[in-house]
Amino acid sequence: MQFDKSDNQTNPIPNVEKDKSSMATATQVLQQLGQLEMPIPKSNFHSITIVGQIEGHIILPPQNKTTKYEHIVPQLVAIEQNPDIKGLLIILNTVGGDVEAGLAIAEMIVSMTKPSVSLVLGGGHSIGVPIAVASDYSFIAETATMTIHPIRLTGLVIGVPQTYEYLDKMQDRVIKFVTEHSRIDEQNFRRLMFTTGNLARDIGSVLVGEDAVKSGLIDEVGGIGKAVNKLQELIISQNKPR
Amino acid sequence: MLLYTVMPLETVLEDLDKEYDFKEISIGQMRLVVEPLDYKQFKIIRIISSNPKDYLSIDIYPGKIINIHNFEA
Repeated sequence: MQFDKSDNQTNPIPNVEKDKSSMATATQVLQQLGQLEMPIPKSNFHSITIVGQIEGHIILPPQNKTTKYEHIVPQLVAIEQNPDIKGLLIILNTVGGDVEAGLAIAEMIVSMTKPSVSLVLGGGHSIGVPIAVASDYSFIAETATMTIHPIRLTGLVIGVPQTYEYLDKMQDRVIKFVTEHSRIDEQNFRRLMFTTGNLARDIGSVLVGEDAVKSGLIDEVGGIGKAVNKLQELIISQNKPR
Repeated sequence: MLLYTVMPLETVLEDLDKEYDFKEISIGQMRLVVEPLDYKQFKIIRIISSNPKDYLSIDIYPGKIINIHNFEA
């Protein structure tokens, strides 16, 4: 009875002293699978997940799940520079965040020489939109949504025309980036941004899966399988001798 | 700071004025900004390094809780 034997043997393992933990896992693998070492799976691409709020220059309170740009940016440098990494997969489920930090990440992805594919799962809202379009090829899950709305000003607002102009400039940065790196044109993107009647507390529009593809923002509807396949395809075509 | 998000700002910014007690420590060539949890446990907040490889480390990353006995503050 192989099953009983292995069941009995799993019990003492968690009690093994901490400093022997690496030995314990080795014996555990031997007991459970009859092998000394597990093969270490090696991937030829790196995957970065962008979740929650994109954190900018101020540490957000702990109730927020955050993606820290000061960690992602050097990570992208490492990916660009490491010869073992051939491509980048970006998985997005973000509610937006800091404009500067989001655009910084998006600009990094755009300027990389290695192929990149993005996949919007759940949501890629607000500043998540430029990040989603920054890759060479973008996917959106069928049920995923992207919210496009105007930028609002936070903090101390001085009621002068310059405040509005500043806001408009920031908004133009986002619009310019998105229209340059996707098939959507400026007029259409602005129209989506200022539509009324779609959002309860704001003006703007929500694009669900197919809608995002139809508007030209995203390249294709698909999931992780398609995204990984596309990335491998891009990696192979890039490596082809010219 | 300009936030561009679908989350209500009052939710995002609640408790923004919370004070943190971060410390900087060295591990090897890396410097880390950490939040002390108790006398030897630290939560990594940020990595300060000019070596891009450090940011792909599977042992050191923001959010990880580490045990350190001797460190240089």
